[in-house]
Amino acid sequence: MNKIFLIIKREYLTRVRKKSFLIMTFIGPILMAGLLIIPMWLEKISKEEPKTIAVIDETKFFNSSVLNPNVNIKTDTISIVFKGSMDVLPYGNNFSEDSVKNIMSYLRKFINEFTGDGQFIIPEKAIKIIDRLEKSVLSAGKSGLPEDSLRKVVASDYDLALNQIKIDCINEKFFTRVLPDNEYITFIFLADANIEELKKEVRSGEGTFDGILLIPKEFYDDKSGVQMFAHKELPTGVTSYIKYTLEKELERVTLVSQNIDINMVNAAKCNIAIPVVLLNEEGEEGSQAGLKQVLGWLAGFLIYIFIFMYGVQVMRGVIEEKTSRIVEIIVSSVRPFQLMMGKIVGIAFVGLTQFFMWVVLTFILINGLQNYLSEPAKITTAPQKTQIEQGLTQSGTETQQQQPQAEVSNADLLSVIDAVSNILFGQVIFAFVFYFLFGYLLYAALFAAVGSAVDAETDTQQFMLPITIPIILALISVPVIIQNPEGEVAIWLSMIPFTSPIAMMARIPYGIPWIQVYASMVILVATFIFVTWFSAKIYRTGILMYGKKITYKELWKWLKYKG
Amino acid sequence: MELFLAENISKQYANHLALDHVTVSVSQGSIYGLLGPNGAGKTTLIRIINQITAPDTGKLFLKGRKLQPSDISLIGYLPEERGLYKKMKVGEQAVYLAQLKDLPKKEAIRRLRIWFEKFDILQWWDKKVEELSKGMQQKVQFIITILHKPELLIFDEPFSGFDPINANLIKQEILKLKEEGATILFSTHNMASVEELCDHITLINKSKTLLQGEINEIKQKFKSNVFEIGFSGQVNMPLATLTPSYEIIDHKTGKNISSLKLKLNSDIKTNDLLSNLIQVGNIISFNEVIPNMNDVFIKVVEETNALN
Repeated sequence: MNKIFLIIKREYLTRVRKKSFLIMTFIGPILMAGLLIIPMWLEKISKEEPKTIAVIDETKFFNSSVLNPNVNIKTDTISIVFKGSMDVLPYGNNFSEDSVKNIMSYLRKFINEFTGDGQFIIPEKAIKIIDRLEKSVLSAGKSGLPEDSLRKVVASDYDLALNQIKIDCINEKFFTRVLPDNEYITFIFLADANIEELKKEVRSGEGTFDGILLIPKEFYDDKSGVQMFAHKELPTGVTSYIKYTLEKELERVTLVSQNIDINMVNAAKCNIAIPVVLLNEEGEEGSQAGLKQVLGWLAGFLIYIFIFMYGVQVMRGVIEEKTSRIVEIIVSSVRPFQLMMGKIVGIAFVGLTQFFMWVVLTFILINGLQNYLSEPAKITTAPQKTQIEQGLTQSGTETQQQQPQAEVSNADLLSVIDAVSNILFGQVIFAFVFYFLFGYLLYAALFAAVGSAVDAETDTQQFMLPITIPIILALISVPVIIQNPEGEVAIWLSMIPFTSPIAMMARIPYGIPWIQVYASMVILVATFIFVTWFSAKIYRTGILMYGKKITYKELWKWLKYKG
Repeated sequence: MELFLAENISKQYANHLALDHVTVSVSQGSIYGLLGPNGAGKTTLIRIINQITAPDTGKLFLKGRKLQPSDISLIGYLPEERGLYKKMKVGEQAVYLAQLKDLPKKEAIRRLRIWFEKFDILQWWDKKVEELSKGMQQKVQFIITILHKPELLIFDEPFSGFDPINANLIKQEILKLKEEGATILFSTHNMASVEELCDHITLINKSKTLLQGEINEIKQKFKSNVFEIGFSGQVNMPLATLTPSYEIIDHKTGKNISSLKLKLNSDIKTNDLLSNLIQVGNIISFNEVIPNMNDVFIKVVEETNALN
């Protein structure tokens, strides 16, 4: 036992001290962090380069301000409701705090419903204005003024509030240009510009515009003829945004010309989510199908990488001992089985160390980079989007590339963590560690046997193939398993020990019967013991066999030799 | 006293019998030679003694009791196919291999420093093995083999890879180990070193024992009544050839010294031969020719090969 510990220590230390280990340990997280960060970074870059587009709008309509087509609003209604509420205010002996509060809460409710689903900034502002109105009306009522003076004071309070609502809220947000700017694109409308001169400017590449948008006079009739000119290729986000806006406008005009109420059409459009609620003995929980998929993939993939990277290291280590001819010196002091297991376990620790370092370093890197990049990213998550953009993201898929992909605010993160903990988190972690280790141990023993049977790594191919096929099969079956975690394919693959580490990890997040998990674990451990015994027999003979091309028939004979 | 006994060892591999009822008995404090052509089964026997593989039949005894797995710390083995981890530092590696032989780390370092100094390789302690010449690597391997002061030492082709000076150094060390009481089992093709070092030998060919015993006895056994006679001055050669009781194998006639090599018919006594030869010339020397191990080896192996 003491000797196997010495071997584990040597295998571990010689590898961990290698330069290549250090390099891999630091490059891995950089690559991983890169994969996560690059989209954010690219976004930052693209945001730093907004495009300016000159618009020659012959229809003279796209520059006009219109009521935001996506918002159902009639400013007059606000005035009428306000005035009405003022009229029903009780005066004199009837004046009471409760009645004022009732009326004010009605006003708040109206404002909320009036602006639609209440997701915009308007109701908040407006409600604050109403709060202030409520205060001043109440203090006026308590002041003991004569009734007609009181009426005047209240009326002026109402006027002030109504004006504030109109100015602060409605004008600011409810009106928009037909072709509005967005974060990336600024449109400059040139009323009487000479197209040829503009083109010349763009052609030289030194103009103040990145491109020219030409909307011909006949656009509304022909529904065509729009052109863009640019010196350099424009990002697809720019063209698709323009295309989408123009199409929306045409749609609106068409609807209006057919006397169809655009509000009705908007109301008819819907976007519904269907949450699946899982019912079981422990109560009900939300379904996190997406998260489960990611978990299954991630776990399977990590196991796959671990088995391959470190399994091959075991094989190389065995070949190294064989070609350097040190193996006979060592097996005169320790049993070949001790040497093999020492190597496998030592390399497992190397792998665990590297994985641990990767996780820690990746976490640190991503955190650091996120802080560095978070400033611009937060702006996009703040609720300051113009209404039209909001409309775009809801119904337009084409403009999605303009939307920042890394919109993970704290609330989102919390909900992910919450969801993860819902998916039997402890069990998933336990199963992952179990399959991670035993999957590796099972394959590492086979890799060791292959290494012992050859003289050089180039000879390993014929033996590697049957080992790699089941791992790859398991990995490519993951989509099938995720689609139907209780299906026949999934169950079989998660029971066969050579595929179960990856296949079972894809199933476990879906909450499968634990009897199946235990069965698969028992099969895996039993197979691991058998395969190690089997590999040790080949290993024992193979390490002392030099300069001979080994066939499968030969390996079979080795199994029968007395050790 | 017998230190080690391998009794009736047989080992069957898939396609051939590697050892066929071989018995080797090594007495305490002696050097025992294990001889045989390539593929005879020597390495298999050595691996069985080191418990790297197990025999199909037969028993192994060390100091009169059955060989145990823990006995490997009493055995030092220098394999024929030997090497070291190339990327590991020399000192570190030597300590590691010594620890595998159950030496405590501190003691291993202490003894290694003494030996490294003796072999003049101390300055290589912190170098990687791949920077060492092959001869230096061989020295390190030799030190590792003997470092834990084993009672039984097994050397498989110990001199291969050494230049004559270093081969001599190793030879002296082996003899010194013998003086200190170690028992040595020694496998080689180099017959000169066998004659120089070994007390007993076993010759194996095609998995069978062909010859076994004390080296001088074997040589005596293989002598074939050949004598060499030296004369001063010129010799009357025709006269020498007249006698039918012997057969001349070789003769050289020189101005000052002549020699005659002849095979005696078995019924003739050497004194009669001498009295015959006195007439031929003035005898200055008379020696029986004893075959060297090289001749014995070739003769025995070729004979058995011819039989098959």
